Amino acid sequence: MNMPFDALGDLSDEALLALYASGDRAAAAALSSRLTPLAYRLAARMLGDLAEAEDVAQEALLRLWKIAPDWRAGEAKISTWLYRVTSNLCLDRLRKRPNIALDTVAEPLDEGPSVEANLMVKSRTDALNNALLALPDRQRQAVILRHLEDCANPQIAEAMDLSVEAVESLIARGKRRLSEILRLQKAELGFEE
Amino acid sequence: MNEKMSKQDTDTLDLDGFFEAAKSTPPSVSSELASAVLADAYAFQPAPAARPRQGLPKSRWWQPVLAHRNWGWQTAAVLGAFLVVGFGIGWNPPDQLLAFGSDYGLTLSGFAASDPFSLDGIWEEG
Repeated sequence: MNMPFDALGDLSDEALLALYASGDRAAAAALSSRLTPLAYRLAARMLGDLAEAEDVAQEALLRLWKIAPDWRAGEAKISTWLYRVTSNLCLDRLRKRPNIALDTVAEPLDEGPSVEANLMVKSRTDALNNALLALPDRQRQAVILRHLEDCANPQIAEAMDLSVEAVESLIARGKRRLSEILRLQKAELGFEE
Repeated sequence: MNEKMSKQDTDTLDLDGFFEAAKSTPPSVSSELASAVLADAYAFQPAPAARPRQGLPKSRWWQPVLAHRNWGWQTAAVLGAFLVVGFGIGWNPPDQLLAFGSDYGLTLSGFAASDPFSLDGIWEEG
């Protein structure tokens, strides 16, 4: 029996995945709409390339669909698992990329027409995205998960397969480096010196 | 040390404005990506499990006969009527039937007068 799509909004990811594995098509739609943005946002910010981010997000979700029947409830949060898979797929792609200087990758993410109405927000977002691309991969991953995805440090540690202390260190170093990069642009981006 | 820490805190604190700006304009999922992900989800979704039969009422052989749309209950009514008529004839046979039976050397005797449920001696050789 398929549950109505509206009735699925309050269910946890784990409950939805169990329904998906039992053949509920509404659960498939609910999970897709809930989890795709997670994977896509992380991939877009890690890679700085929307086309590549779409490939990564689709691949990460594909892996989730494949393991759904064997998912062991209670062992890990689905969002944590998805962050881990997405991050690893991004790191694989980043490793295959040639080293590129920061000024050549300063292609801002296209945020859509609503952002163009607020140039300052867009400028700050672009500046941050470009600065993130200058960080080492693991620092970028930790900073994105902590400050843009609002994950708790233990969840980040699980997603990155690190200790909480290592995550804290990565985040601290990453933010220091971001501050150095963005300090010069603060005035022109509307921040007081 | 304290000065260094406070300068560091100030530096990282300033990043909040950047983070808030980036969070307010997240990269949005295109309809193509959403469709592709959903298509994958359907393609790899296991088939729904068959419903368990345990607990369902048992089906009787005559239920589908009675439930037949065109002739189910009509047939049952006709058969029921024949049954009643046949029982009536057996209980109180008309004279013509007794005469018909005697033509073939069969007589029906003592059925109604004696024990009506006893079958002994209903048909006797004439």
